[in-house]
Amino acid sequence: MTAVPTAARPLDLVAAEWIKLRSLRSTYLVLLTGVVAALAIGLLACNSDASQWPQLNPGERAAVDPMADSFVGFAIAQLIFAAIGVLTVTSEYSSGLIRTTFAAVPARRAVLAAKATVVCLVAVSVGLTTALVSFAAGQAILSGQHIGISLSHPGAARAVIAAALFLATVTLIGLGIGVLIRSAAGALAAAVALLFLAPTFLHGTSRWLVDIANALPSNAIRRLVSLHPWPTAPSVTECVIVIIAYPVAALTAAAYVIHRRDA
Amino acid sequence: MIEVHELTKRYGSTTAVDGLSFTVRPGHVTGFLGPNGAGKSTTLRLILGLDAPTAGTATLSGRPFRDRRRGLRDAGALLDATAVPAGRSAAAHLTALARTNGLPAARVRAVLEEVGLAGVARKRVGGFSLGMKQRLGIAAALLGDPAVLIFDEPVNGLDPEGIRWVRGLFRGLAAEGRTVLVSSHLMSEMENTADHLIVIGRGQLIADTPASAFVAQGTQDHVVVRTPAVRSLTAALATAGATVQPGPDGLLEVTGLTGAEIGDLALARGIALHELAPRRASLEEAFMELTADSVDYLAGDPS
Repeated sequence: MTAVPTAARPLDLVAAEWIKLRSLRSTYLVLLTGVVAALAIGLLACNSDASQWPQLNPGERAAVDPMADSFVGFAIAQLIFAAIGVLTVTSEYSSGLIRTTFAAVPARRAVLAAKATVVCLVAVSVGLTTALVSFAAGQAILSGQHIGISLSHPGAARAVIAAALFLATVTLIGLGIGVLIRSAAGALAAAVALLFLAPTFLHGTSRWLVDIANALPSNAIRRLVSLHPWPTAPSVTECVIVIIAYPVAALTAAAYVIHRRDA
Repeated sequence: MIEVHELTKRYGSTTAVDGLSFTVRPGHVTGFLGPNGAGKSTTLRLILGLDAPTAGTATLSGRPFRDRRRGLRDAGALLDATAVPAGRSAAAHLTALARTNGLPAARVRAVLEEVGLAGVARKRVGGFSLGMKQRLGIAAALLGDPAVLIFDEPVNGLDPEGIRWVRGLFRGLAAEGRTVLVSSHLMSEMENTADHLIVIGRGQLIADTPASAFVAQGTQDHVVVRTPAVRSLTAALATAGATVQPGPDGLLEVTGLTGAEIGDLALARGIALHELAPRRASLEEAFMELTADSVDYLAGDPS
C-alpha cells in the first residue's frame, strides 16, 4: 500500500487519451474514411471542371472556383471527423467505461480537456496533410487547363490552414455534443443536422436567413476556401469567429454538464 | 475506511438509497448484501462520487471521493465487469488507466500477472469470457495499490477455481490492512469470505454485523424429524416446550429442543423415529428471512 499522493499531471491524462485513441482499430478506419472522402470528392470535382472547361462559355467559366473545387470533399469529411469526436466519448458512456475513467480521475473536466486536446491535435495534423494533398493534387489537375492556382495565390494558404482547422472545429463540436447527448446515434444525428442539414435548409435571401446561414460552421469554411465568395457570404473575420465560437460553446456546455450529471 | 452517513439517493419518485449509514473498516472483508434492486450498486457509485447523493454523505479515508483529482491510489473499484473497451487489448486498457494516475507500466504487468491474464494481455478484450473480464476488472482495481477496494458482484462468471482464487485474494488484501467491500446478491458467496456483513433492502439498512452473529440473529437452528406417529410426537414435543412446524414431505421442523432431547423424548414415549437431523441455519437462510420483506422482484408475485 502506498500513501504517496499522486501528482495530478494534466499531460498524463493527454498521454492516456492518446493511448486510448491509437489502441482502437476503428480510429484508423474512421480517419482513413475521412481522408479518402476528402481527397476523392475534391479530385473528382477538379477533374470534372477541368474536363468541361473547353466547352464552357465565359459566364460559366467565371462561376468556376478552382480553389473551392479542391475542398469540396471536406463537406463529407467534416461529418466523419465530427463522428470521431462523438465516438471518443459516447463509446465510454455506452460501454460503461466512463465510470472506470471517472473513478480513476474524479477531476472530470480534466478528462474532457485531455480528450479535446488529443482529438484536436489529431484532426489538425491529419487535416493539414489532407488539405495540402487535396489542394496540390486538385490544382495539378486544373493546371492542365491553366486554371490551377499555386499555394502563393492570395487566399490559398489561408484556405489550406482553414480547412485543416475546420476539421478540428467539427471534431471538437462532436466531442461536446457527445458529452451532452451521450448516445452515439443521437449525437451523430445532432452533428449531421448542424453541419449538413442546417446549411441546406437555412438557405434564402431574407436578411435574417442570411444572418443565420452566415453563422453556420459549414458556410464559414465554404467562404474561407472560396476564391470567389458568393454575394451574401460572411466576412473572413466572421468566419474565424464562427470556427472558434462553436467548439468553445460546445465544450463549455460539456464541461458544465460533465461535472454536474451522474456518471 | 468507508463512512456512509444518512445517504439518500432519489431518481424522480424512486428512492434507491434511503438514509443509509454504515462504516466499512480496514482489515476485514465486508460483504455488502441485498436482493436485486436493493440499492447496492447505487450506494457504491455514491461512495465513488460517480453519482451525487440527494442527501447525506459518503467519505473514503475521511473525505468525499470526488474531491480528489486522481483516484487509483486511494480506491480501486470493479463496478461492472462488462464495462470494458471491446476493441482494445487488456494491456492497452490498463496502460491507459495507469497513465491517468501516473502509475508506471510495471504496475500493469504486475496486476496482469496477479489476476492470471498475462498470457492474453495483447488480446482484444471483446473476445474475453465474463470470467476473464472479471479478472481484468479486478486487475484495474489493484493497479494503484489502493487502501480501499470495492468490488460489485465480482464472482459472476468465474469458474470454481476462479471463485476460490478470488476469495483468497480478498482475504489476502484484507490481511494486508486494506478496506475490502464486496457486494453480492448471493449470500452463499459470502459464506466463506466475509468477516462482516452489511445487508440492505429497498435502500435501507437491514443488518450491520459480524458474519457469525448474522446467522444467529436471523434464523434459529432447528431439527428435522421424521416419524410415522406424527400426531403423538407433535403433542409430546409441544408439551416439552418445542415449536413444531410441518415441513415438506411429511417432515417436522422442530425448534426449541436439541436432537438428543427429541430422541430421548421419543424413546421415553415409545415413538419410532425414522429420521433425526439437526440443521444449522445457513447464512443463505438467515439472509432470505431478513430480506423477505424487502424483495422488490418476487417471482409469482401477482401484484
